[in-house]
Amino acid sequence: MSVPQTAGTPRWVRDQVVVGRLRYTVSRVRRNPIGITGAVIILATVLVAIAGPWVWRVDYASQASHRLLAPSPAHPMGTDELGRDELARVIHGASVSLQVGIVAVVIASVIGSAVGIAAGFYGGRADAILMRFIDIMFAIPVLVLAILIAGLLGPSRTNAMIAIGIVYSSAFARVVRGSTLTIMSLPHVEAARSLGAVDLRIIVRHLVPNLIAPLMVLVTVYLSTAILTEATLSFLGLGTQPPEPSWGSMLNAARSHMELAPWLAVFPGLAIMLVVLGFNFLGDGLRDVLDPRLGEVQR
Amino acid sequence: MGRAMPITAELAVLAVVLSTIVGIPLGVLSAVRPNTVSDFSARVGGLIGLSVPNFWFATLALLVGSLVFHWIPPVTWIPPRQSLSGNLGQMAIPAVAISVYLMAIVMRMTRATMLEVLSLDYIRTARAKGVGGRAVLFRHALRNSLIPVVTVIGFQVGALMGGATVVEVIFGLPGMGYTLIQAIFGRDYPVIEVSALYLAAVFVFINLLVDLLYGVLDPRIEQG
Repeated sequence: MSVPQTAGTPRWVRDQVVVGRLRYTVSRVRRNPIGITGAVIILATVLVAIAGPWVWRVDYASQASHRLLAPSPAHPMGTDELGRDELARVIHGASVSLQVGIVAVVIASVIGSAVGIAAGFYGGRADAILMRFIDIMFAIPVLVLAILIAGLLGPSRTNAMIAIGIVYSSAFARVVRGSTLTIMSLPHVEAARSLGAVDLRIIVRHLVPNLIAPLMVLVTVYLSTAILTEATLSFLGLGTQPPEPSWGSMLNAARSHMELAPWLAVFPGLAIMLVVLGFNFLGDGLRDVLDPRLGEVQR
Repeated sequence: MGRAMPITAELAVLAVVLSTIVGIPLGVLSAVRPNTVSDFSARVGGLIGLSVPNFWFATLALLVGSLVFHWIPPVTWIPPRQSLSGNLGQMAIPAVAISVYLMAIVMRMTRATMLEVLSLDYIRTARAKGVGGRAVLFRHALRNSLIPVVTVIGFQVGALMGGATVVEVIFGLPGMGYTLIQAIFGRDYPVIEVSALYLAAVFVFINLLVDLLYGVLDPRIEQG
C-alpha cells in the first residue's frame, strides 16, 4: 500500500496518488462518524450498567425520600410516585435493557440459525416445511406476535425474552438459509464433500465460520429492535414486573403523574432512545462496511 | 369487534398518508444534494426517527399538549360520522406518533433509491435532450425509485399495526390492538384469537395491494 516509487513515474503523478489516497482516507473517516458515535454510545451504556450502581450508591428500591420530588442535586432525576430515586432506577434499567436485548437476540440467532441451516443444508421437503412455517410467522405483525406469546406465557421478564427471541428468529432463519445456500455452492465445500466429509463436519468446519459475518450485522441491528420491543412490552405491562424497574414500565407508571412530575416521563424515554440510537448508528456503519444488501429491519 | 376495526384502519391509513407525504419529499431533497449539511441532518434525523419509541413520543406529545396548550384529546371515541373535525383532532397525536418511524424509513429508502436512479444513464440522456431539472427529477427519477419505497411501506405495515396497538392503549381508543391487550389481561381466548387473526389478515391483505400497485407504477410488470 505504498506510493509507487518507480524512477520513471513523473513527480506530479506521484503527488496525485498521494492526494487521492489522502482524500480517500479523509472521506472514509468523514463517512464513519455515525458508526463511531454509535459505538461510543453503546460503550457508555455498558459502562453505566456495570459501574453505575457502584458510583451512584442509592438503592433503586428504597422508598426513603419524599414522593414526586423535582430534580435536585440529591436526586438528579427526581423521585417517583413511591419516593424512589429515579436516577438509580434509570441506571438499573440500563442493565435490564441490555440483558433482555442480548438474551433475546441470542435466542433468536440460535433458533434462527438452526432452522436456517437445516432448511438450507438439507433442502427438499425439510426446506419447504420449515420455510412455510417461517412464512406464517412473517404474516403476523411482530409486536402483535410478541404480545401474544408474552401474554399467553404470563407476564414476566423471562417470558418477554423468550417471546422477543422467538419473534425475531424468523428473520434470522431467512438470512441464514440464504447465506447457507450461497456457501454450500462454494468450491471448498464441494471439495470437502468429495473428500468424504460427513454432514456434521461440513456444517461445523465449513458452514458456520462463514455464517459469522452476516450474523454479526443482524445481531447489531436486531439488538436495537429487541431493546425497543422489550420497552414496549414492559410499557404494556407484559415485560419486567414491578418493583424491579425497567425503562418501559417506568414510562407507563409516569403517565399517571404526568402533570405533577413531567420529568418522570422524560428520562426513561430519553434513555431508551439513546441506546436504540446507538445500536442503529453502529448498525448503519457496520452495514456500510460489511454488507450493504441486508437492508431494513422488519418490526 | 365491528366497532373496533375501523378505528385501527383509520389510524393505519392516516399514518401511511402522513409518512409518505412527509417522507418522500425529504428523501428526494436529501438525495438531490448528497453529502451536504441538509443531507447529513436528514440522515441523522432519519436514524433518530427510527429510534424514538412511539409510546414515548405519544406521552411527550400529551405532556406538551397539556402543560403548554392546556389541551388533551377527548377520552371517549368520537366517530367521524358524528364529528369529522373532532375525530381528526382526536386522531392527530396518535397518528403522528405511529408515523414517525415509518416516515424515517420512507425517507431513508427514497434517498437511497433516488441516489441510485439519479446516477443511471437515462437520467443523463434526459438532461442532455434538454428536459428541465424538475421534470427529470419528478417524472423520470422519482417514479422509478418509488417501487422499493412502496415495497418497504407494505412491509412496515406490520410495525404500524404494532404501533397502533400501543398508541390505542395510551389514548384509550377502542381499536383492535386495545381489544387484544384487554383480552390478554382478561384471558379471553376467543377474542385474543380473533383480534390477532384480524391484524394478520389486514397485514397480508395490504401486502397483496402493494403487489398489485407495482403494475400501476411500472407498466412492464404484468400481473400473473
